[in-house]
Amino acid sequence: MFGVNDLPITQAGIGLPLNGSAGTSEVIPGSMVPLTFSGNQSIIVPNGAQVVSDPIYYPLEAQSMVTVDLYTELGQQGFYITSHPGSRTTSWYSFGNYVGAPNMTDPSTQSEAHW
Amino acid sequence: MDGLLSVTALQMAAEATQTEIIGVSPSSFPIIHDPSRYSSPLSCSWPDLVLRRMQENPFTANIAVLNQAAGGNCILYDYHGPNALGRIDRDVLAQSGIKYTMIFEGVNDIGTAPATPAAQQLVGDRLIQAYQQIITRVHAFGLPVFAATLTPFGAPNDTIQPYADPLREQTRVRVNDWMMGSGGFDAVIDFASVVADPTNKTRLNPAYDSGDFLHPNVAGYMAMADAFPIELFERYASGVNGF
Repeated sequence: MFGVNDLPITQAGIGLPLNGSAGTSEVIPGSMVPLTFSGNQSIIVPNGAQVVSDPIYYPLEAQSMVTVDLYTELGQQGFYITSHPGSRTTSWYSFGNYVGAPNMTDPSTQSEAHW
Repeated sequence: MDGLLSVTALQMAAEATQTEIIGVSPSSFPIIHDPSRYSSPLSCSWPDLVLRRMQENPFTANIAVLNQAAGGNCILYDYHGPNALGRIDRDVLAQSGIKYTMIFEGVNDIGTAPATPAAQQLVGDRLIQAYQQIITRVHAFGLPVFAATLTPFGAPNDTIQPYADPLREQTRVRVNDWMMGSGGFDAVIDFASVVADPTNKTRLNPAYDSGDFLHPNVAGYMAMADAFPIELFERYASGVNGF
């Protein structure tokens, strides 16, 4: 399913989850690197659109897991968000900017495990 | 809100001279209930298990597998996510470096269509037409299309497995017979035979049943992955004629 409103991405990063595990909120300290979008730290994704981040040098072993951090300062309006409800992994979300943080520790932190 | 939000894919350069990607396209089955999932970096879905085999084979070691499966997805209408016929553009053809494609989907279309002769005739007609549409569209890009037969969902009653019904079973067999007999797909992997109960082909082999008479367990996914003919990648390395 896809969002029906603009998705304003303020900041994004990619890193390695602790122990290589899927669905964890913790990342290996120091593994998180910033992502840019055509040279900019932020981008507004229109409804139904797909954007790509700029290429980075980030060697990965085949079959390994990664963690993607996204921060949206303004948030996305409405109740529809692009998602894969049957993805069989867990996403974590929280108020505040946790891009690059080793873990998400704010009391508002929530997750949705599939089973 | 379950799962993966806002991120659709990760693209990587491979170390080989060519980047090859197989789009294991819309599929309703690479879903498992593996209690070790969170402590293990490796998933036990069948495409991941095929990937592990591919990594050990020199010809396929640098082929990436792009699993576009969506649990509960249908080919003909939006159910869990957009319909698969509409996903071909975005999820398969728009991906960079695609060399091979595969579809293993249709069971939810059959299972959610009413168990009446008219409704099952219609969903069978439409599925076969949709497969033909997918084949034509993917072939137009010079890419091969592989398919897998729909695995059985028969059960002692329709409480334990709501899809279970003799009319739906007829549609499943009809669709599988078309896949195997029409020659439309470049290869058909007969997952249905791999996981079927040898004494009752309308049901999953009890050794491969996760318990709901529909989804295989890890042993079932391993059997499916082991049955996948990875020599297909070498055979279709040059693609197909587009027409």
